[in-house]
Amino acid sequence: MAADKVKGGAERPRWSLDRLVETGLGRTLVRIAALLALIGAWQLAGNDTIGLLFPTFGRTLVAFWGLVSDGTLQVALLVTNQTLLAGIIVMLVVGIPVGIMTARVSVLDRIVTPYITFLVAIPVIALIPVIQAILGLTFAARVTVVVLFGIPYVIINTAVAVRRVDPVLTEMATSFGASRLVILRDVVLPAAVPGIMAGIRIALGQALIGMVVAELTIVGAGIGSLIADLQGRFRVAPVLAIAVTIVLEGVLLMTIVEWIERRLGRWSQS
Amino acid sequence: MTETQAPAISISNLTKFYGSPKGRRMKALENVTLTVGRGEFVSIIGPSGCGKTTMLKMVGGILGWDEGSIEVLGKPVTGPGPERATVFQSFALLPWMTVIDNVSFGLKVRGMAKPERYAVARKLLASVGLADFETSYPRQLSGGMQQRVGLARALAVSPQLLLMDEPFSAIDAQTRLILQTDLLDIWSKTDLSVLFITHAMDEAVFLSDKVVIMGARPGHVTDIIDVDLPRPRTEETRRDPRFVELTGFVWDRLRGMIQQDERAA
Repeated sequence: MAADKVKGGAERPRWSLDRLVETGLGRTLVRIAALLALIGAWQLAGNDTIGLLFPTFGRTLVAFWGLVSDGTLQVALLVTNQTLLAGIIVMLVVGIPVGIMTARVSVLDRIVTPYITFLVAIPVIALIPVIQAILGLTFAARVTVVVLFGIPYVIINTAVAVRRVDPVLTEMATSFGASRLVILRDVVLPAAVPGIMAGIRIALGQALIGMVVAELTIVGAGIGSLIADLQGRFRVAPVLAIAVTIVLEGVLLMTIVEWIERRLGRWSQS
Repeated sequence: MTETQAPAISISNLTKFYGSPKGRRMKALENVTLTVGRGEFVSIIGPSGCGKTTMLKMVGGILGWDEGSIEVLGKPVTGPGPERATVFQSFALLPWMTVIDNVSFGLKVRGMAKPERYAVARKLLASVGLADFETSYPRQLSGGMQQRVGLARALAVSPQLLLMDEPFSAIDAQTRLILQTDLLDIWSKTDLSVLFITHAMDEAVFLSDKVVIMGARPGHVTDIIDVDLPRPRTEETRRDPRFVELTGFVWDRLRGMIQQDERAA
């Protein structure tokens, strides 16, 4: 009987979920169906009669429109994303070179690595009072939080990627008389790109968390202060609408990174 | 001896130590003396651990030694040089570059402009039979084709000395035989001197003017065999009784060493 089943592998059922997802259209249909099911479940689980209870999808959507129509959400998003963008730029401009140097200069590795390990090991939130004491309720303070959330992952992944470059490739370049700088530019960095991008992907997720945390704890701006304000007035539906907006932004950010990763690292996928 | 008459490679009394973690020094090579004449094809064969790849890296100028000397074309080796080019066992192609960019990599390092280096690369790609693959990526090619790219890259810098580190050992047995005849064909049209590392007896005998047999612990030269088979060598050569005899002789020498080694272990 078991043998029959194995043989049956050649002629699979005409209709199954596995077969459906083999085509692009099928995959899209499955995704839409799953999303609709989720929204349906949300709608059923929510409550429209009492404002304090978990709102339905419909009420959340209305709240979302309310925030958008008077421009509140757009302004908050703009302020918040300035923090995020500044944080990401600092994270990359500092993190990638530091990662490369820790991998190539062993003295620097000894100096930098313990602090990076420290940043990964402790909850960065615990450092926020310190940052606030030094920088106050400023833009710089919020950017610092974003950077501290993400930068360890950029540094660690860059260093690992640079260390893992096949030594035969550097040997080859050396044999053609390439200088250390040329080897770094033409061999080590391109070879490390997939690893560096993987680190950036993790770091962006962390930076997004850092952004919200910074604004909720170091009150003063953007989405965070909007959430705090609405929460104070027990307006659950708009808070939920903002939460969903942040999730969607995260998804968008990841999609962009994955697209860049695919463009840069086409050679690494066989 | 004037410089023009100096041999391609002249290694004398070469000794190399490896430092072990506890400070005990292990001898990797002991008193190796060896000459490769101009235009000569010399193979080194020996059990693993005999230091043959180590020695090739020293000749290539990417590894130092402790005692003795290495001269290439009459000049002491102090580092890599434009008259030498290496072909690597694992091909060492840059996976993010197309075939033509890989072939012209050495020329790029030496500062040649793109149109010029592409022109040189195209000529060499044609000579190794890969003219139609310039825009392919290495991973799209078979092992044999990847090593043809590796060979073209080495030849592109117009070296006088080709250093080949077990170049065909990662390639299937049939393709390997074809690459051997193709390599001889390319070599015969140039005045290249070749130092070829291998662990295949038939390959060493088929290709070489001279086969150097090395023993291990520490690495040393045990025999130097002159291969008196006529050139050009073809598929007929592989059936020549003299070819069979020489291959057998090399195997006898190696087998003795390996068995002794296994008994000692």
